[in-house]
Order: sequence, then structure tokens, then C-alpha cells
Amino acid sequence: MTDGWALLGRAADLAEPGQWITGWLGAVPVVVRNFAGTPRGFRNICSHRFAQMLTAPTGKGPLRCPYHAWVYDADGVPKAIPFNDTDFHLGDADRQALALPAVAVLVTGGLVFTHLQPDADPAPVMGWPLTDGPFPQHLPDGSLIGPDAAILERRSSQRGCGC
Amino acid sequence: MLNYDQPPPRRRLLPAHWFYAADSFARESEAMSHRLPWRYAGLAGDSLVDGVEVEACGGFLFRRQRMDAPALADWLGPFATRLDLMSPALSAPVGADAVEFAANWKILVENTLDDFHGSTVHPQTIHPAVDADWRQHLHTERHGPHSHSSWKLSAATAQWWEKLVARGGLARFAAQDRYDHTYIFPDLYVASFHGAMVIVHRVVPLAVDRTRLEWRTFLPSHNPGDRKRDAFRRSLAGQLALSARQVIEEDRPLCEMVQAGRAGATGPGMLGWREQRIGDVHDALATLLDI
Ligand code: FES
Ligand SMILES: [Fe+2]
Repeated sequence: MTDGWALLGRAADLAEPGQWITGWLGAVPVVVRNFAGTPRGFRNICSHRFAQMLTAPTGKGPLRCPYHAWVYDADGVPKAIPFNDTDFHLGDADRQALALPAVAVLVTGGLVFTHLQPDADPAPVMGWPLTDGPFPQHLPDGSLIGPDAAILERRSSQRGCGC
Repeated sequence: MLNYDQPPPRRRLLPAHWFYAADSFARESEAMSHRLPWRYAGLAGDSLVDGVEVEACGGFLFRRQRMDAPALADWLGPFATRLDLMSPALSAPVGADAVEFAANWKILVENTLDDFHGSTVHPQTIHPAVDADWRQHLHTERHGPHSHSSWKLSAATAQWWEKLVARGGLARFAAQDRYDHTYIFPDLYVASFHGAMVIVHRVVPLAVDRTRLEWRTFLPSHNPGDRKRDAFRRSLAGQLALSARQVIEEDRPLCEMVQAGRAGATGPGMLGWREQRIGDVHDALATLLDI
């Protein structure tokens, strides 16, 4: 049982501010990004017209939607909205209401895990034997890891059925 | 220009299942076939299914789907004149193409009605082709679910067209230094450039998450039969066909990313003042679908 937790990627890919990792929790695209040293996770879906925002598995740069360039901050709030003054007229409260839904993030054993419920209990992942062999090791979410947090297969790299 | 004295209403977007659930797609298709008064059926000269009652607006054919449909001219409103105006161009087809999108048809429609993704999605194609101060010169007109946006071309693009018109002996249906985009709900949109080239697009839903965009290009000339000019026009048509396809290929991944995100979105979405054309389509569908 995964209890909804899934392996998203390697902590090394989040080491620097601005770095991010994407993946899928079932049918939901998610992203975890290093915001000034703190990893924060969100649904990777723009609040404007619902585009999946970042598509590469890993990268570095702002959490920006490629469709109309909305940029989101560490709270998932759209902080830059091109043409806001003329076309959207969104004040602070409106922007807060458009914050991306957060997902839970847990970094442990050199790996990054996520869960759709932002307050999900991390205990199940803590019970996964991530650092002891034998390797390769299957994780309960179906991923396969090797020694030194090497990811051999990552279940969250593919869209799931959402069922 | 955004000519609003006061804020337009915040519009509601259709719930997500209309974008990914097969049974919703079936229900919507049924409503489109039986509840919508008129539906685009093709162009004059197309072979249509026998027995289908069509009416023409210039060279554009529409199928009556309901006995109590308003007159076609009333359904099309001010855009009947526009379709009529462009119709002479339809006698000069120069190409046809299609691209399939892994996205619901409504996402393609939202995309084509979206007047402000040029700088982000088409930075090398559409964006430089229109006037840098496009916001000042953009005119939008709406009638029910149909709408029209008209853009001023950049001076360089307008000059380029002037030269093409002269060299190719192109026949303009109107002397306009504009890019015009006319949308007729639900599946027809017509783009025209400089009053010379016309591209007729049709959005064909294949499945809830699959759509084919078909388009046909028209480029009329004053003296068909002039070998030199015909050759020039053919090579120009080939070049323009490549550009048209490139623009579509720039839009396709964005549409597919919306499809990928749509099912997992929890918020209501947000339409800005300039996105009222999109709101009109969602409203029309909500009425059609009784939701
Ligand atoms: S859909 Fe993301 S900015 Fe518009
Ligand atoms: Fe586009």
C-alpha cells in the first residue's frame, strides 16, 4: 500500500533554488520546486485556463505557465499576471483565491515523495526501506530504486488512470 | 481596445467532465446535432450528404438542424455580412491541410478565440506580424456565441502583402491592412489576411480527447491563367501553407497541455476581460446542455 504517496524524483534535482521536478499522481500533474531553499509542491495546473505548466521531468526556472505566462510564488499564488491591469483586474484577494492547490512533499533518503493531500501523514514513506539494500528495490508505489538514491523506474513519470 | 465602461461579468466555465468524460462527450454530440439551430456544413461546391437541407451565406453552407431555427441571417448576425464579403475568395483554393490534437474540441476553440497568447505561443510567427501596439488596434465584436476579432497588421507585414498583391496579381476581397478572425459557433472559423488570403478552419471532434483541425486556404488572383503569376501564386501558397501549419503546430502542444491539466484542476478557472469570446462559447454550451 502506498497510501497515496509516490516517488517524484531525486533530492539532488531540487538542490538549488529554482530547481523543480514534475510527475503525475494518477491523472494529476504535480510539481515540486525549490523556493529559496524550501521545497514546495503543487498541482502543476495553471489556475487561469488549466494548462499543465511544466512538462520536462526536471528543470530550473520560475513556476511559469507557458500559455499566458502567469508566474506562481512559493504559496502557489499567481504573482505575475501579464495584462492584469487591463484585462484581469485581480487584486490580492482574487489572486489568493486562485492559488494552486498544494501537495504534500517529503524529502528523505535522497528522494522526493509527494501526496495529493497537503496534510498527508508521512509515516508510510518513513517505513519504506530506502537506504538499505538489497538493490534494486521496489517501492510500494511501483517505482524501482538502486543504491545512492538512483531511480531506475519512476511510476510517477507517467500519467495514471486517475481511478 | 477594451471598450468596457464597467467590468464585464465574470464568466463561468464548463465543469471539467465535459472535457474528458466519454459519456459527457456523447451527450454533448447529441445536443450539437439536435438542439443547435444551425451547423456549418461546408463550402459551396463541396459534395454534401444527400437530403441534408442547407442554406448558403455567400459560399458558406449551413445545415438547418431544427424546424424552429431562426433565419440563418439572424443566427449569424453581423457575421453574415463578413462571410459574404470573404466568399469571392473561395473560388481560388490553393491548399488543404489537417492536424490532429490530443485535446477536446472546446480547448481548440478556446485557443483560437484567445486573442492574447501571441507573445507567448507565437513569438516568431503571429506576434511580429501584427502591430506592436496590437492592444490599441484590436477590435472585437460578439453576437451570441459567434465573434470576430480584427487586428492591425504590422507595417512590415502590410507592406509585404502589398508587394505580394502586386506581383501575384492577387485579388483582394477588401482593402484591409488587417488580420481578421471570424468564429461561427461551434466549429467554423475563418482567418483572412490583408483582405487577400482566406483560411477556412473546421474543428472536428473525434473523441472527447481527440480533435482534428482541418483548414483550406484560398488565394484569389485577378488573372488566373497568367502563367508567370500563377507560378508565383503557387509558390507563395506553398510558403504560406508552411507558415499556417507552423502556427497550428505552435498551438497544438498548448492545447494538449490544457487537456492534460483539465481533469486534475480543482479551481473554477478565470476569464479576463479580453476573454469574453470564450465565455460566450461556454455560456452557449451550458444553455445547449441544460446545465
Ligand atoms: S493557462 Fe496558464 S497562463 Fe493562461
Ligand atoms: Fe494560437
